[in-house]
Amino acid sequence: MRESTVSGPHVTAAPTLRERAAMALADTASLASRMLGKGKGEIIGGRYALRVAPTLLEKMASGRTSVLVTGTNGKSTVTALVAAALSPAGPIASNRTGANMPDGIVTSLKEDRTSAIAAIEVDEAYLRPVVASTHPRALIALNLSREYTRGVSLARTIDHWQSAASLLTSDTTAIVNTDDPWVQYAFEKAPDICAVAGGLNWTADVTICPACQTLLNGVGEQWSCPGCGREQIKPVWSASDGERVSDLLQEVIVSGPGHNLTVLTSVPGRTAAASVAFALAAADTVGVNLDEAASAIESVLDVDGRYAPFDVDGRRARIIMLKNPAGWTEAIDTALRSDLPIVIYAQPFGPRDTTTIWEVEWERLSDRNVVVSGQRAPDVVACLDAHGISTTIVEDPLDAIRTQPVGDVLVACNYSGFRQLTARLRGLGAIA
Amino acid sequence: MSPAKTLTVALLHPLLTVACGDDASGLALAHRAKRRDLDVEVVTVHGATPIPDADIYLLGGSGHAGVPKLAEQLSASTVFTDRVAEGAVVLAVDAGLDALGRGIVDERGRIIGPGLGLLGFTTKRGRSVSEPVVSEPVPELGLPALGGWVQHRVALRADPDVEPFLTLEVGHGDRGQLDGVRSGHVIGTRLHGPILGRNPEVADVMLAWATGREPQEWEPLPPGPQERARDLRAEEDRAAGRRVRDLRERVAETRKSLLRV
Repeated sequence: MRESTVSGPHVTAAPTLRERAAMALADTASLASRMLGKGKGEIIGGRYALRVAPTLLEKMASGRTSVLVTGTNGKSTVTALVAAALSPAGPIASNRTGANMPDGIVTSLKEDRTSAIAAIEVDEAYLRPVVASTHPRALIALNLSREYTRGVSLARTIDHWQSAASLLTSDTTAIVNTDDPWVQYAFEKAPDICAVAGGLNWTADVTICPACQTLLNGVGEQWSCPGCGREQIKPVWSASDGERVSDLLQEVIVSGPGHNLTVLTSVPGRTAAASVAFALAAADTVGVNLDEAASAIESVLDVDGRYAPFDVDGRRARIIMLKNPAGWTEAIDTALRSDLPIVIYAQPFGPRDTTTIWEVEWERLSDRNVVVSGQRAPDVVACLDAHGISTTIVEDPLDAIRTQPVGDVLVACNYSGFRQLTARLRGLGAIA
Repeated sequence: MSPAKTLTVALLHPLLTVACGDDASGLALAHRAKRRDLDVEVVTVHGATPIPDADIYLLGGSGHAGVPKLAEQLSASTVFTDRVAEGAVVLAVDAGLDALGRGIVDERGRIIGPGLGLLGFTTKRGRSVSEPVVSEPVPELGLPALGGWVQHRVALRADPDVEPFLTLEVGHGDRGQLDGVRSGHVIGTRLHGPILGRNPEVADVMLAWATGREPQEWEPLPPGPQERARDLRAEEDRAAGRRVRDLRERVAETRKSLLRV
């Protein structure tokens, strides 16, 4: 992937005096935050900037071709793939750090005002203001599933997405996962829909019709509602797994209008194929040559430290972050499909931090002993025991990984576990 | 006891009320039943599927917008109310509890979302809470201090004879420090967790009632991973609660001393 350059002529319109003041304030706040050791500072800087100049996001998005990516799971991965897929058309601005609310987005765009294309990950609860400010060329809606880190109900997210969709004109292509009846429902009034068979890993939330509450037919295949007659928009993009080339590389086969492409990816799990399809659909919408887009996608090896394995005395550990039952289900799938041992690392983050793992079908791992680590290990053990799974607690996550045989290991972390483990590994120089 | 028949557990409309882990209470109940040598079958009811004759009903979630719809489903036939009158066991969590009351009322007390009217309370807008909770023990049910989390902004306006389920030691209830409702074999609470996953003793109470026992009749079981995790978490939440209280007291004292100056 070509790295974005910060030099060169600005593509964004010139900021007003007030917007310039807001940008200077943001830089100061970010610097102060970094000096105080409070992190990268992009969120706090952006927050102050938007308070001083609410128009700043619109200004920083102006003059660019933007692709937004939203959903509950897989946003960072798909955004990275989209950024790669669009890179043959020129340098890409993107919020690669995963700061995906308006404050984080404005900071990323402010720092790169020369790239004419932007790939922007958007938190699902902030879609409307970001759509309103960025006037995107394409909007990718991946999936919806419950999560309790914030306590927002699915119904509220659907309302929010509908209101975001109502802002779309025919200048925006809504690239929608129509395998998910709720996602399709949220975007059904968008003027230009490109349907993708994006998969449905977590069916428990969507078995009833979002419009009329009737039990849907054919969820997971070609769904339809016997109550109101809604049915799945036939996907024009679909993807499936091809050959497994090595431990780390998977072939995926993507078909779209007039195209059949085979792409190698190191993105793990059964969502990999669909993620590549979304990225290629976005590239097609923007007008990028798809063969070039596909080969650029193959260069994505690592998303925010997630996929590149790190070595622990001969164990090649892959860290994955799981925020909701759909994510945990995906981890179990990956562990079963690739026959990888799975180590769980769970750290505290609020009163609901271990609720989501209760909804996962741990029974599917029934013949294994699962090694659990982290301060929330007792809660994880309680849950797995109720599902009939035997466990061992090992206090230190690296020691937990060392209990596994030499070879590949899947390290499934909750949100704070992931943050803390990747920070520790960066400190050790084990990951970039 | 004669060989026990299979108990039917019906999980009612978890999607209508946005179950947040509460549907795992079915699994937790089955797990506890196994330790009590009971057979349990869990069925989930969605959409227009009729509510079955069951020994235990589970309902709940955090989506209060779904309360009227859930109440409508519960009253679509008389099965649910008949079974409750016959002594079937009910666990109603948060929005599920509100569906069993008279309904959700506005500031003037007018019903804006009707409930089933099974229990003597209405639900009004209350303070917004999102926090861990730890309860006091309930000796008459053989319950130790329970743990869970709450997230809502409702309060109960209950008839004087409506008994609460719990008194909270840490966190806020829906009637001051009181949480939920207990009436016959119906338990209503704000505690998510899932409550039966984290507190198997509540499952014991329900299994006792469903098999015609008193909760105290169960042989005590050695604590398992669930009890241990709950107790550890309760210690942590109590300590955090104490820190918040201390901080509040210090702020109040500082304010007082400033006023004196």
